[in-house]
Amino acid sequence: MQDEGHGTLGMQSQELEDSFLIGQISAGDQEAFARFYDLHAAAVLGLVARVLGARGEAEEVLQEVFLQVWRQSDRYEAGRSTPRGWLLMLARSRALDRLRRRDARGRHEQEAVADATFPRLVSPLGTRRLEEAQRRERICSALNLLSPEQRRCIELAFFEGLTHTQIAERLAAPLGTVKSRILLGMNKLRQALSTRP
Amino acid sequence: MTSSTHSPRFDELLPAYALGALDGDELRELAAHLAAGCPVCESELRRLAAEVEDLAAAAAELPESLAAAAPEILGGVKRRLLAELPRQPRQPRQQRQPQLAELAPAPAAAPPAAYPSPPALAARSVRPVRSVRSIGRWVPLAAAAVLALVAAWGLVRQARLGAEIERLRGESRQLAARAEVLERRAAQAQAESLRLARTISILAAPGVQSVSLAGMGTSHGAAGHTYVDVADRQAVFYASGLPALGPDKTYQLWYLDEQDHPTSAGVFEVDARGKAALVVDQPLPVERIQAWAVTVEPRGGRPQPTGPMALAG
Repeated sequence: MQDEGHGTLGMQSQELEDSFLIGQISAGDQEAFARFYDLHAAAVLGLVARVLGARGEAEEVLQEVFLQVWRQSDRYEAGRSTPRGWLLMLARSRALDRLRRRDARGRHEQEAVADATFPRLVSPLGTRRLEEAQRRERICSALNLLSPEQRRCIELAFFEGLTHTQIAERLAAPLGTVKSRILLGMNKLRQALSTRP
Repeated sequence: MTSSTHSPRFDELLPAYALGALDGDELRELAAHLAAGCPVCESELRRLAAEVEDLAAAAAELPESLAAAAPEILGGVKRRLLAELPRQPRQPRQQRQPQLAELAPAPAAAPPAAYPSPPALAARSVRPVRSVRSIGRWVPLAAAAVLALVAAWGLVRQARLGAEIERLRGESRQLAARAEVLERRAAQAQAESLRLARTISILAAPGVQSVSLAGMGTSHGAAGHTYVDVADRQAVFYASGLPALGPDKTYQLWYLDEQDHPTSAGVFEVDARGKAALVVDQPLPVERIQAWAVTVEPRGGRPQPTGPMALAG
């Protein structure tokens, strides 16, 4: 019973706390920064590790992302996204930058794409927050509505930063097919996610 | 900034754009459209950004391969970060620099990483964990990022100017076409007013002679009048009730002399109501004219009448 209430209230209070912390970080509060790190570093590490695979690089990018938060927290725009959403998009962006530099140097690591997929199921491990677990469950079940081909195209764009043309080359599929898979996949996700609880 | 027209085509490009998958001409086209300002696309992009954020949230789960090592990694990075913070410069907010990256994602070689995305320049002063020597790597990268931004901005400007030039060209073509129509109308109006002036001068002339023409054959209900200005040797002809003819036929007016020899006085068309008017501006041998007649002739008229008679008098 307590958990039910915690689901929605918890989400709101988490956003409130995050917004407060971002404001404090902008003012140079290191304690607020440490708290923000404790709340979200595992998620950032999970995301960048899925993009980069290699542990060493994931670790470096995790550090880069939070340094960027420290220096640029005043660029967060409250109306645009939640602090956590902003942080995760920052993390994806930095991880993709790193991936591209690695590709440019021609260095490919074996484990690089090993986990570059959306999780099939939400693991009970590491999801300390009920509301987050619920959110991920919702997104995972929305992702399950996609065809394997649609899902693969979106994963290649999301985790490897590939464009239409690059995805078509990678999959040896016609460009038009790739375009419509991404369009239909994104629309399907939108429909599934728009019925938010 | 002038806002550009939204088209449903952009709705199909936006999901890939939000995901960073758009490239080539489509990317340039959409970037130029967004740069010109489109409220429809902007609000759609916000929704799509939330969707991509949802994807990021789903992906933010530690892969199993890392689960065991995670506490150690997280603790280590936190220690290094907290030690690093006092040495980190705080960047004051730079006016709208991030927007440049949002509006103009770099071309295919470096597709947009995320929406909204922080400027690539931010990489400049981050110190990598592993090796101090690798700082040197950032310099060319930062320079490349600056070049990419400049290039992207150039592309947007070029696309905007190109669109503006195209718009102005279209406008000038429209204006030229409109001017042509107006000139044609003015010429028509001038001819019409000249004709009216001459008609009036004929009708108002002292000693004008009126000749009535009666309908013949299939033009049974038709009627015509010729007013001859004897002094100036000119005439004006009116007809009514004449049936419309096919495109290959025309009416032709004749005058006949004492020997019933016909001479053409011009060709004319009837309007939708079967009415016609013709100013005969050739010098007429008014003393010798005995009669007037109208025949149906092939288009352009004939030197001598060949077709059936429609009016005579």
